[in-house]
Amino acid sequence: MPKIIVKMALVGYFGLFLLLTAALAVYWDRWQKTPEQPIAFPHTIHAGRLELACTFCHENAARSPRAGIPAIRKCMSCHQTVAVDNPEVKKLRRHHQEEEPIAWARLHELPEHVYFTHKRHIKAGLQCSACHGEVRKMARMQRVRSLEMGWCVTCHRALKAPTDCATCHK
Amino acid sequence: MPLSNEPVILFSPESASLLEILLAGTGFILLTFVGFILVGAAVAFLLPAYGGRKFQSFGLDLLSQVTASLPVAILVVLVAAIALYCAKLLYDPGLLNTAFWGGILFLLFLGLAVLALSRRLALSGGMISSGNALLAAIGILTVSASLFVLVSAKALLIMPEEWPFVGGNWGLILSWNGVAGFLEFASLSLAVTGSGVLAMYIPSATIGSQVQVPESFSPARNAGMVLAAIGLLIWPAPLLFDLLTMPERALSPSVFILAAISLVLAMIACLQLLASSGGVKSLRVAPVLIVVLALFLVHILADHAARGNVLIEPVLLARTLSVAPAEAGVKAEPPSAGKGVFEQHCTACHRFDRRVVGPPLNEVVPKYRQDIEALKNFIRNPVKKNPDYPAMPKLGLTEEEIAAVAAYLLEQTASDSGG
Repeated sequence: MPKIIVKMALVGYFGLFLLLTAALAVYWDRWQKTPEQPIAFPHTIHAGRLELACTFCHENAARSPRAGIPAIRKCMSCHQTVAVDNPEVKKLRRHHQEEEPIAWARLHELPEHVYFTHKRHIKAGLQCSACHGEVRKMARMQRVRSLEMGWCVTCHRALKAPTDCATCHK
Repeated sequence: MPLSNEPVILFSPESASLLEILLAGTGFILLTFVGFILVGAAVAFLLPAYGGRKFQSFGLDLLSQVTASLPVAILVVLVAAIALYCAKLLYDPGLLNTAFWGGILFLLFLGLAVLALSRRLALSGGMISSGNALLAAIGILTVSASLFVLVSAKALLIMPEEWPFVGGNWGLILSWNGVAGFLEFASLSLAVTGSGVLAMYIPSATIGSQVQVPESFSPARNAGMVLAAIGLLIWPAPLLFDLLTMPERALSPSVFILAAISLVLAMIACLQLLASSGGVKSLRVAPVLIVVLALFLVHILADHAARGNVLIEPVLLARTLSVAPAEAGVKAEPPSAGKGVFEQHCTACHRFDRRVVGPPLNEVVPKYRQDIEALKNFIRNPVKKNPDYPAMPKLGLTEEEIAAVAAYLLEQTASDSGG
């Protein structure tokens, strides 16, 4: 076989894998990496420096399946007067004035066939950081756990929580 | 098993970077060296035993120059121990215990010692028999098994959510990403050994000159080229498998770029092999070894980048599982309504003992001790009193909430001042 054909075959072979790697990179960029939020809310200040409890803003975590995001009214209770010159706070105030909800990018989302309740996990004594990481150290919120079934089941087994299918797949 | 979160960031960022470089460096040395020993031993023993007499001198030659001896075995185990210790110091994953890792290191040493023994037997006997080959195979399998555990542990380092559970379930050490890592190691070992053999047997400065090539030249050259080519051609598959099975948080543009660079390097090495297969006149193959080592290094750097993406402070601080189950009698009294209002609405800006956004409450609330109505009025319609502080916003509390929190504030500041 002439060498030039072998060379072309080699370049084609590795080129194909380069293309596949590029495709994976594009997929990651579009679907998997931490999305940008409409307002750069820093947990480092609110949960870190101000030491606000998680439930100060995520009020329903201990009493509902969903933890929720606070309404703009909650933010404005301080930011009517606090840090009004901050460009991110200005964005917040604009949303408040125009009565337009903030389209936060959801980071922790489970598929519809999974029933997860925050209330039960908090009542069992689990710290928020077990699943969300040390949020007060995150200038930019990111998901730090896979939230995959295998991980959930591993923790349930270790802590003697129910592992019956109907527990989570109602 | 559940432990409270302890401060884990023990090192300054500079020391942590140095330790991480040491971890990556020892990983590089360990994997290249052991890969070379493993595949070198496989080739040196199995080719003569099953490929025929013509490989005997090549096999013996290879054995005398590579594979393990006891000092090398000790050195390799030391490097592995340093790598494990760096990982422990940096990340404190709490993965199993010293006895387990000591056992894995001992297994590694045992395998290398068996290889050293079979090498000594073959060299002193002057030939490689199938008995030698069997003994060597046991050594190779033992070393491979311990390497598999070490590579799986390396993969586990980028899955910190599993760390709290591994102690109760050793099976969690296994992961598809670990398998991918081991396959990457295997293909790179083939490539390193092949190009190493080529570099050892073909001097680089003999282009065009009349060289008396040694008897073992042709089988060595062919074996080296075949090994290197197989290793390099296989490489893209486990690489892609690695990218697919890596936790998504470990991925970043730098990981993808390094993967692309490694593919380009593999392609360059293959093209160099092709160029050097044209006969005696094209003998410059030392560069193939350099490119393959660079490829190995890029692979280690990609691991290092993945660790940097995952093992950030918010993750390391939450590396243990904190569960505080409610016990009877822990809550002596139900929280008062006033305390609830305070925690929900006031703690954003106020503490009792220090300035946050607003003034310390211990300083301002006692003024209202004789006049709770004035305090309630202020909470209902706050006015700016002190130029040193921003204006307090109107909170929109109900009358019940205002009354409850005012009573709570007076009670807290009264008890603090001991009055």
